[in-house]
Amino acid sequence: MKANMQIALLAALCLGLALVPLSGSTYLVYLATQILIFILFATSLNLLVGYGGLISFGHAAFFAIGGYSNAILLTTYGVPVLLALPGAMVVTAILSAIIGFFCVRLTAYYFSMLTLAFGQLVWAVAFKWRAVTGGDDGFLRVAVPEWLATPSSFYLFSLLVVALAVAVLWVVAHSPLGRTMMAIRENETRAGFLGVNTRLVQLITFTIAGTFAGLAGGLFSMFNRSLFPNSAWWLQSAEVLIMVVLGGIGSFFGPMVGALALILLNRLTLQLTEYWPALLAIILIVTLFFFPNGIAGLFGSRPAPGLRDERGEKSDA
Amino acid sequence: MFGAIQFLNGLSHGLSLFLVAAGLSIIFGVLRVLNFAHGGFYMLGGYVAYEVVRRIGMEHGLFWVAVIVAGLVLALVAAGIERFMLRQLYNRDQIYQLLFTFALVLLIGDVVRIFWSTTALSVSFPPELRGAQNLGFTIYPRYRLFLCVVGVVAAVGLWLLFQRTRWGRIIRAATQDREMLSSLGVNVPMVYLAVFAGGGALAGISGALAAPALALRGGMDAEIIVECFIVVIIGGLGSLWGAFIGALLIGQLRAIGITFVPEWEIVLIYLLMIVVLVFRPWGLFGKKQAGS
Amino acid sequence: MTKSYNALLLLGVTLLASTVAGSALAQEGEPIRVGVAFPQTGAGASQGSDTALGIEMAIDEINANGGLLGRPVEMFWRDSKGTPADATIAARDLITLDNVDFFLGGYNSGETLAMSEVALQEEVIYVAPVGKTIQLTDNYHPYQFRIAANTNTEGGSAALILEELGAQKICTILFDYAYGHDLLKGFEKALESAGSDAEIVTQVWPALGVSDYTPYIGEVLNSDCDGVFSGIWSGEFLAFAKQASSFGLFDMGKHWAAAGEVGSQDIMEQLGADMPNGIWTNSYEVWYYPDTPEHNAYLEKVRELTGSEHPNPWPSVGYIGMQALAAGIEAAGSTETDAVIAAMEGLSFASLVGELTIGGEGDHQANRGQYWGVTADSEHPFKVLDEVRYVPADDIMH
Repeated sequence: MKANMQIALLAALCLGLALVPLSGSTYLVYLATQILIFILFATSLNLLVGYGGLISFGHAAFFAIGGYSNAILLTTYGVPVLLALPGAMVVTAILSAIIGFFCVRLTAYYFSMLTLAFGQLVWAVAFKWRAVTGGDDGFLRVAVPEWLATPSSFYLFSLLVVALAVAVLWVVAHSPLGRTMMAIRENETRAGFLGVNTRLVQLITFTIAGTFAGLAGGLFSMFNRSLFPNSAWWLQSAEVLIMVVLGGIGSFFGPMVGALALILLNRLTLQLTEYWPALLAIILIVTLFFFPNGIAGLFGSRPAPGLRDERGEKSDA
Repeated sequence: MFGAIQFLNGLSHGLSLFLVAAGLSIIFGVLRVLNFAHGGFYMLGGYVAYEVVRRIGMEHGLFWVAVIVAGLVLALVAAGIERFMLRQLYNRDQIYQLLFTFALVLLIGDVVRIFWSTTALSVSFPPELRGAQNLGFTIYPRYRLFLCVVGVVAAVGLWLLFQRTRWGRIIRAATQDREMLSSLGVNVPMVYLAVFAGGGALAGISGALAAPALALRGGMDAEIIVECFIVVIIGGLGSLWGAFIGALLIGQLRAIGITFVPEWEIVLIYLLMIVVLVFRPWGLFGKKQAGS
Repeated sequence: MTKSYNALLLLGVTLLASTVAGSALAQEGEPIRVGVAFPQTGAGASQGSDTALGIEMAIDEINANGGLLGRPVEMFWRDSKGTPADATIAARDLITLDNVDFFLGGYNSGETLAMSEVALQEEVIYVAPVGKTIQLTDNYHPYQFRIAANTNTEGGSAALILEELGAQKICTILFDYAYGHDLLKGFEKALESAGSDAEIVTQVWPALGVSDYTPYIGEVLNSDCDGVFSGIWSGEFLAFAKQASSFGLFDMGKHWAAAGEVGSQDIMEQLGADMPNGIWTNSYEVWYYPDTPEHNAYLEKVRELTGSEHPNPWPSVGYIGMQALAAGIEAAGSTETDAVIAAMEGLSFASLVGELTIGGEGDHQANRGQYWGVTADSEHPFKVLDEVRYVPADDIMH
């Protein structure tokens, strides 16, 4: 894939997306904002899963940490949004570095279980710390500044932020760091022999992924005007993981399509069936068994490097 | 005050938890699959028992029929899942197995909803175990004492199964070295099928036994699976002893936490788990190579 | 490669376009559009569906009588899935896609509060028929109305019951989340204003999602309290009651006030003989009380609709919520938001459970009381509430 082409295409896409408010449909603007936020969330997780090979079942914890930090900075302390959002990212970065420090010491299933456990711990704290988070009554009336108060202005702001954030993640994924992550995922021992500090690289990846999930959470808290402990619950982590798999693990743009597809599918089927979980399960099973490379794979994208294909052999990157 | 009752509460909770966690741990030990759906199996077992009791009643020992039916149904369900679906994923990256079992969680949840709606349901105590028993030092509910006995019997039974039978040796061998197993001429796919079905049966029986002590409701699958994860993380994945000790620890820690630091009981359990993981990432009784 | 992403883009655009087409269908029309958002999936789905059924019943009745202000009422229904985030989506979809003029909804407190935030942002009137959380009023804004009883009323009425029974030392068993803490506030407030000398000696706080209550029961067993105030709500009470019975906790002669709508028919039926006798508990409504023409007319209809001879209280909750909204629209003589708000402030209306009055600006809560009774055997395979009484809200709700 030509990197220049990708960038040009994305720029065109962003311009196109900036026109959504012209449709005059508030419904569409809300829907598009929700999709944008989850695109960022899924892309951040993909850095961890697709590039780092680390399957986190607790990524929603960072979404929630960023969301609560942003809401608290904005509302409780009256910090302007252009400082609150970066502030929330800093808080999330610190906490993801601390949590990541413990998690990257472990591999495979233990990593998955520990991330799940940390995610549940964050949920428990959000639930219990009523004075700060509002507990299960949620953090209400997030102070969204005047200039972001209309759905359209907030949508355009989100578009800008998400576009910038995705660009940064793209650069990270295609940097020497990103290539090292893939080398580690492919063969950790070999990467270690080559003098790579695998733990450190994984920790940095974990922190970056967490930070951008936090940014997505920050946007979400302003989008919804309220935030509840549920946003850290492990099913939320699982849902964003499904977005990544549905879109295509390891393909940079796949998870974005996965987020888009999953949200639209949910909305389209909402009035048709009350069995969304079962439908989601069937979609997931079909994807896992028949389209292991997700939607991106359908369009000829290569299997993710290091992921074993159907024959049980690792594909060469 | 932390008295005999609180200790027994912790003990019976821990021993019931062991029954579920043991299945999860054994499945992982042999198949190397972390089965998210184990909580779903447990929940389904409870609902199957409810349905049987609703149809045939629970007098004259009929409750035990319900428990056995729940175990059989779940063994069949698990066997079907292993034979026709999970088997195809063994050679794939672990994320496919994880997400497949997660999909089963969603599916089982909806199956329960379709058949039994989302209203909380209740199964009475079997008549022979109603009321409380005087133990001399305290009075304690019969059914919970019975659950303690079941937990201990199951632990001893599983231990004997593993140590004294051919099947047990095969399963232990599979846990330690899967390649060796097939070179010894063992029908490996059959072993996997049997272990997954056996784990399913254990989960189903646990769910059925839990039904009178608890209430049946959507969401009990997520609740138990998170607790089981904590147990096997602390005890060590794939280790029966680990599941046993881990479950007892969690049971006591809950009772102690509720007595002394009620506000932060839930956080306490997570903290214990994190501490174990930091110092012994493979768990108290796990094998070091299992995680890396 | 580039082609593949073009194709992906196309897919995205097509999907987006199809949702736009959906939104184009929603135009301003003749009928008054009322949105309803309760869980249809997830926690509270059966209660949510039954509540919506009650709203639908009220709307059908209104339409059969010529509608409101001469206009028919049309109901739009979305699934709030039992979580605040999904409730936000459902409320926004009702407003932006279905163009509803008013909406009702929310089963648990998180959903209720999240929907109220949407109402504020979109400036659309929101009626909460189920949510009791006092946080709704603490975070007051003019577009929200609560027709349910609040946690002050529920906790306060429990205090009055225990006071009357003569409990001196009280144990509390309340969930360690907002609902439990709010109930305690209402309970303490009512005890104090009743000039009671009863004191709380032991408090236990079960966490959310536990199904094993035995450690908490152990704490109460160890206490010397002569009265218990529990807030283990509906479905959770099934496990709690069986565990507490097996310890003989209900046979120790302690006076018991069980808040959390445990007297609901659905809970009575589920527990059957396992429901302890002689504890006081509450319900939004019971089918055997009161014996008034309004209530009996309602019961007849709801029996027909649900096919259940002993209906649970949930349809009544939705029904009353819709009665309040309809009364407000009638009184305003228009569907203009500001006019309806003004009309609903201080409005008294005839409800299924007798006359209710909605508080003025800064309050916006109906003075909905609580039915309390003591559990007793009946001719049915389930227990019923004996000595049922209506504890009015006026003195304890604020």
